Amino acid sequence: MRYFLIIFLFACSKSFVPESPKVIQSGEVKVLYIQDEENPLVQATLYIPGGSLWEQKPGVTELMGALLATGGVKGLSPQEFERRQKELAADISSAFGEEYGTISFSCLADDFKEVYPLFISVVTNPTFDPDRFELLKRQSLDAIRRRKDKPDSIAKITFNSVLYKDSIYGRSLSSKDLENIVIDDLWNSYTGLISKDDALMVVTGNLDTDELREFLDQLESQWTNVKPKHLPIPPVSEPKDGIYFVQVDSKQASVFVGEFSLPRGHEDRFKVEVLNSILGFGGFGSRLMQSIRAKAGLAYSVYGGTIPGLTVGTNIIGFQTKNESVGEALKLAFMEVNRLKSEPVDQVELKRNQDSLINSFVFKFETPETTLARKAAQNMLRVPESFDSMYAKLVPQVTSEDVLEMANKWWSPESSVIVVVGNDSALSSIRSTFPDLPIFEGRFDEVFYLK
Amino acid sequence: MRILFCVILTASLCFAEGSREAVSKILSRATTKTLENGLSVLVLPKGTAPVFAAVLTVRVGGVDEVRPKTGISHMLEHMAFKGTKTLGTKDYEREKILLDELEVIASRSKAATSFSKKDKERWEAIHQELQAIWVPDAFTTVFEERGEAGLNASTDKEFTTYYIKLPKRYFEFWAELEADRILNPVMRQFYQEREVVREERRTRTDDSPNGTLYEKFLLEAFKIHPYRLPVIGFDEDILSLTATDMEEFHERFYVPKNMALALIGDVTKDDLNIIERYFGALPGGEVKAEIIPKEPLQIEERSVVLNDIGSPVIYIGYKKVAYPHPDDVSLSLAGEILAGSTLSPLYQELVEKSGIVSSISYSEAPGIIFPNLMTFALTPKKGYSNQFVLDEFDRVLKDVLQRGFDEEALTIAKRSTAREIVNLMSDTTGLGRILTQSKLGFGGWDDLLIWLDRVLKTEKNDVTDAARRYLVKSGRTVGEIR
Repeated sequence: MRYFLIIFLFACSKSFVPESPKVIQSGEVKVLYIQDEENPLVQATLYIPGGSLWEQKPGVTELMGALLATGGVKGLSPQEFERRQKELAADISSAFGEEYGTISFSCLADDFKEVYPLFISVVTNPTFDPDRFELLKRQSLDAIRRRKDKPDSIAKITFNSVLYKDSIYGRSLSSKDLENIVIDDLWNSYTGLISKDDALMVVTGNLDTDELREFLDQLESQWTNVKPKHLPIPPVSEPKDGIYFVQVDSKQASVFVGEFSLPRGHEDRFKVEVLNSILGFGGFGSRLMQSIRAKAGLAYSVYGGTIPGLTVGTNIIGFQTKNESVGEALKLAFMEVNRLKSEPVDQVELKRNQDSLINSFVFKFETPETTLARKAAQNMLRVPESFDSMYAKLVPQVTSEDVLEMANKWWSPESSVIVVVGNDSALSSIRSTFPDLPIFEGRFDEVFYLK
Repeated sequence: MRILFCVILTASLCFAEGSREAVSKILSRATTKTLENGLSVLVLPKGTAPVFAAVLTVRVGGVDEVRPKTGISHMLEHMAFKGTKTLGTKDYEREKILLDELEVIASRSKAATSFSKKDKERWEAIHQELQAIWVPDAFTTVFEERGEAGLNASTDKEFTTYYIKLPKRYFEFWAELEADRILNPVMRQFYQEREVVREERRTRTDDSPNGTLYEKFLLEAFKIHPYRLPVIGFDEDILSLTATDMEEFHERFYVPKNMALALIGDVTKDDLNIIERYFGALPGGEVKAEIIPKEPLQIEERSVVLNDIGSPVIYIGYKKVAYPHPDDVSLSLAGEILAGSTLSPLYQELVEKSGIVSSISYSEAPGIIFPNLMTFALTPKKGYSNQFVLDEFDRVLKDVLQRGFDEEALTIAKRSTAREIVNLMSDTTGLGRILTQSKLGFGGWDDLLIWLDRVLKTEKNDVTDAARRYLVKSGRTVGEIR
């Protein structure tokens, strides 16, 4: 009976094949399109490789990305451009992150022909209005001032600055960085980044292919600033292990534990996915959640696992707990990692986590937008096309020995970077629990490597 | 008829009509039913992936609470994840005896906060035995292994809402368990979970300057109405809760006629049979609610000032009526025109031109059923005092209201509002939340459309007139971090 049931479920899970996108290409820009008759909106996003990991001056890429769609276009001031969008109830936006950027628009299908020329102007003819540039800088400075208001944001910034030290990864902007940026920096960033090289567009909605081709032709013909892109892999500096403590007056301490881990393309990737789920990325059932939240009542939010990165990944454990419990909660977290390093996971727990990963995979293809956004992001992050099929094949094959091996190979939380932001009780709690670990004390405004 | 209607109106309004049509087309696929026990159910087929979203809302929240038991609705939401008589335990019979004994001890130890030596020892011994009986988070893990997405819940002033998305093949599995945990939750691990909620309060309120300000702001804005009380509860109130309190509260509010269920995604009206089978079995009954006192008319400006807890923030909250009062939509449009976008006069004057604040936003809160607040939130920039910012806000608002709103601004506000509703259609759990809340709050599954129709029909004089009447100093509370 059970055997039949398994076959049946397997057959069911196989039966859904997410719609493959149509590939439309007239020049260099490739478009992936899924028609969605149900959706009243057309949604289009242009993905462009490159980002802040390659910038010469901190903060320039993010600012350029933000100002691209808000700084006006040739022939329309920022205000006129926004009014036009609002009249059409369209949304046009842009943003650049560490490794890629997006420029997107959405509108009712009937307005597509009126909205796409605005989008093309953003890509090909932005103006980076100087007043808007100053406004954005002032707003960003204000945001920097406000990030010291909450212990968890102080902890996150401190964590990034001590883990990645003076390398470009995980860098947090300072006021000085921002003040150094001038409008020419944005123009340089724009001409260097916004090129057709490896750009990819995804579109969903109820359009016919001719309308889409017309749009694409116009984009191709107006977009001429092609400049070859060089994206060499930036170097990483090794972190210095120990406990980094920042004193704040708070009721709760924020804690992050981190060390370098596997890069994105590593062969251990699928085994580590299973380990992640068991340890602390797998929701309520994960070990950190069970031990620190459900059993001990020490935290509301707690998680942990490996986030693979471009050259190195990060093992991270994060939680918040009342100041006097920091030592106890950290000890429990370490215990859970060490348990994974010393005892094989039992078959029931292993299977439960594999099932969870495989069964929830369908949600990555829940709508045409999620399907395409995933595909495009994978393309930008240079994840091989075979990733999804490998995932479905290899995750169920992971054994408890594999998990044990991965835990030993990649995890050593006691010799890693531990950031604690809290009050005196938090400090005495870690001192008494970990008398042998070095503790570096700092204040947030002069925090460790953050200048 | 519809086409004619569109032609007669200006081209601009056609857009909003187009949005309205798009929303109406999606919602028209829904089947609704009220079960014999009073539970309201909506089934809405949507999308092509073999998955569904289930959103179950109970009309219970902060407004149903009194001191010293604030936070009880939210605490109960947490407890609804602790399993049932059959899930989460290895031996319910023995567990029940032990849980009962815990309550006897809790009743003589100030809700388990001040024990005699003997009680403390017994308390720990019972917990030790229970740890061996409990299967922690069994309820959540059975869904996790079936691939749930977004298994969660939220509690606000009026509603407690439970969310999940699952592959369709587990529909019946979900229905059976969901009905069981709503009817038969077991208050296991209660005293550990109470500490989890206290940690949640520390994060959201105590260590968050904005959270602290908002708590004090509502206490000042509402003098009697329970909108004043924090949904998460005061810390001392959370500490006074017992598992017995939870069971009593559950019995008073978790009755089918006080609940609505929305199923969206790969579902058909045939799935109602399964719902009937499991949810139809819940016994009917009446809600035993407190009488919610009416907030008296506010006659003068109120203020609350907190010093040195974080960067400056200003909340300016005006008392207003709630839907279905006819002024409600006019005020929503007024808020959208005044501060909803970068074209808004408050944004233009205070952010873009003078640059004295870095952001401005507006909200209608803290609930939707009772007269509430239209609140503008401003973040002053360094170098500008709160008083200066407030004076400038008042000056701009006065100017705009004196001139009255123009047709163009209203049209744009209508389009933006209609567009937000269109956006909502692609978020199955968000849509389920709005639909179930409007069903329980206002009586109809279609109130979203009725509301949108009212928005589209509102005229500029209604908006100006309502803004002039409600956005007055005597009806407002100003909360500040200086």
